[in-house]
Amino acid sequence: MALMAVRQDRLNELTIKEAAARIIRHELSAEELCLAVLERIDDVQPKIHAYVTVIGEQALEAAQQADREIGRGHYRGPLHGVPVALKDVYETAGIPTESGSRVRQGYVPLEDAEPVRRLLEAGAIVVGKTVTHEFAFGVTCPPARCAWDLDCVPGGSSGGSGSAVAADACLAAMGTDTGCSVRNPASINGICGLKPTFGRVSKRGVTPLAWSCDHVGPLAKSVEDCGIMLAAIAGRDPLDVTTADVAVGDYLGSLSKGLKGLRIGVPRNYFFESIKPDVDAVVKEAIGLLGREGGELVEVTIPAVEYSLPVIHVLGAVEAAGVHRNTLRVHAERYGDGLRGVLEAGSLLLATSYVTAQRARAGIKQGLRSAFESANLDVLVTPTCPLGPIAYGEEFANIAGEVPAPIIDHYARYASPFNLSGQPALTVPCGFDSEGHPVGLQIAGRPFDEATVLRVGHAYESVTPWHGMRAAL
Amino acid sequence: VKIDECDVQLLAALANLDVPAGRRATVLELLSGLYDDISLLEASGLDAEEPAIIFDARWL
Repeated sequence: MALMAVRQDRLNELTIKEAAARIIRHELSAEELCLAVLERIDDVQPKIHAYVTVIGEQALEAAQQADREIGRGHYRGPLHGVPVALKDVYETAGIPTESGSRVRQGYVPLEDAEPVRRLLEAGAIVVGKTVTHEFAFGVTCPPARCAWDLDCVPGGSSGGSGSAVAADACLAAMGTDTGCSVRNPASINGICGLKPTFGRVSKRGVTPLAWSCDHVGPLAKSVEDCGIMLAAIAGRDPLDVTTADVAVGDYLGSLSKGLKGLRIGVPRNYFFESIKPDVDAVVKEAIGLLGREGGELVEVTIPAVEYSLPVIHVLGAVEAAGVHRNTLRVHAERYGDGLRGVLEAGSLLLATSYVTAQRARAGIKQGLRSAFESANLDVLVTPTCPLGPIAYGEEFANIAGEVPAPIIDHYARYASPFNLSGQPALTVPCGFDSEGHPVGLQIAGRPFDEATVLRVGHAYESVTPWHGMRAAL
Repeated sequence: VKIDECDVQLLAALANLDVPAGRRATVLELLSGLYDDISLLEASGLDAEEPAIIFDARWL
């Protein structure tokens, strides 16, 4: 059973927005904030094991530098002096980046990944690298633990980032999302997580998992903080051909416009099948609240979406096999058994099978497009996950008497359609299941319309207490 | 989908992989699962679409 704590108004518990407001008024220094976060890491790391590397000294030096800049009147914006963490798949100059694998043991990049470079440019202070499932292919992330239940996995593959943010061991963190990997650990740990539109944010310097489904995005304590992080990293990168030349939106300007006039799709099919009854009830209550707050709820049927898992299984296995083609031949023994098997199996599939999956993916994308267009939707709302955190060591779970399915299938079931379509999708905490574990509400939008997704999330957050609740650690 | 262990060896050889004997059962099981997925997709009628290999999210 998870235990809940009340915020103590400690510095490390601040949101980015709250910290920035104090920093700009010179009521708080970046150094004080960084010290508070580093102390918190010391306190909770033995319990949650969220970090693989903590760079305390380097972070403090950067914080002191930020204070000097701010003191001179050179304030870079709301991330200036704010401590953040990075999933250990983001390349960081001079700091080990091992992607959770013995294959990358000892690898120290020479340059920062592009999203990291942009965060640093915005003044963020990197305090460390967080645990990832091996090469981001998995959802259990050993040895990290769920901040709400230390007997459970933190979700994944950005499990360390989810656990660290939830434990107030950083103000926000970056993750990656190929099938659920930002949204799932955010939901499991009771925080917010945003997968932006495919092409919205550069992935240059981020270890790939499956190129055509990979996204990068933030995990944070509030929707607004997700918007602040996105504003810092969004935009075309001429050196990443997958980024789109689409104008960056105003992610914060429309946050408080409320729900009136927005058409909110509620799926009739797929997204409320194979879900724990208590999670189902919590999510439906959250959706009802969106209606009571002025949103127009519109029931929709989404063709072909039920094929999302088979498609992502094939794309994930084959593209990952392509990523690891050379190292699998030379250093197969360095991979964990689980990932190695998937890579080997993915290496053995026929090219025509991959094309079949990409054709089916086009059908799913078309199904989502037709649902949005025919009902003129602004967003679609669904559960983020059909169940909460599972105990360490469990590989399968069953829901309501169904045949047990692998945990990764449960966790990717409702999230992966938006990796296939490329649409932006946000998770916000929306209550607790019968075991006291957090439940997430997923809000998916039109491509490149993160602003509306964040607006809906912020409107929900503004009338509910869930995002302010903390795990007792 | 039933896959013979010999097929796995053959495919592995073609792919220039050395799947040790002790791991073949694991790979076989995973490969069977993937072929089940592909059979499902082939039966879905969705493979009439153009493949989304060059992916672009600008569709709305």
